[in-house]
Amino acid sequence: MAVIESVAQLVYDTSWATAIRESEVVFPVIESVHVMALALIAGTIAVVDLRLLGVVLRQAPAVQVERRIVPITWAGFVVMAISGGPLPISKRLRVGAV
Amino acid sequence: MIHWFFAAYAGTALSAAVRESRWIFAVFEMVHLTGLALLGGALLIAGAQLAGWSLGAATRAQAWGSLRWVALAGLAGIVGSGVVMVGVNPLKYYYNPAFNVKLWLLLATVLIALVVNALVHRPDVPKAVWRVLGAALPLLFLSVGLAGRAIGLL
Repeated sequence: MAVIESVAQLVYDTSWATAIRESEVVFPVIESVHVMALALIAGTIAVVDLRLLGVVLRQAPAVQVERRIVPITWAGFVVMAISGGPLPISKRLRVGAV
Repeated sequence: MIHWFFAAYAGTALSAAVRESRWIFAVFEMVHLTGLALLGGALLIAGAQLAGWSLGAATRAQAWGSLRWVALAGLAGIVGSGVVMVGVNPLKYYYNPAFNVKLWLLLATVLIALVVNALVHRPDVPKAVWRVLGAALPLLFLSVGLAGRAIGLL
């Protein structure tokens, strides 16, 4: 735990973490991208699940639907992971408290 | 007229309950985000299919016919939970520019969806029209989401 704490403190003290923390614009913009990517992931997974349940897109083979949509889900995951990194890093103390 | 509605809403028991509860706003915010995800997923995939990105054997009309119900479920979740969330301070939302932009964008999304609904069974619609409509739906959804995030910042 102490190692995580000290690594978090190191990152927290970097200039870019400070810049994100102190800007009125950067954090909300990154957070917005993060939330929209999350919505994209959940939404595309929901559509694939509904197809597997036979609720939507019944005319298209499930395997084809899955192959076309899952890459979009992964794209959303990549965006979410990249945008999610700076969020806890810039607010180390809040994450540490959880 | 609309101002009157927001002012009257602020005096209701529902608005008071949302203000005083620690949980009501948070619970409905979760419903709101889930609705946003459903709407976004359905519009992205339906928009891509309308624009010519094939999902296999399903035609435009077939894909739209099933995905519109997912989009409608998401829209119902967004609107229903949104009405409750606004209750926390209706007049603050009324004067928030991002909230106004979000409502207009949501209305534009619904109007485009109605246009798609009216055209989707017609065989004489040019491909260029489908490309525009197919791109507009997910882009409008994205704008609705970003305007929604901006509400808390303005």
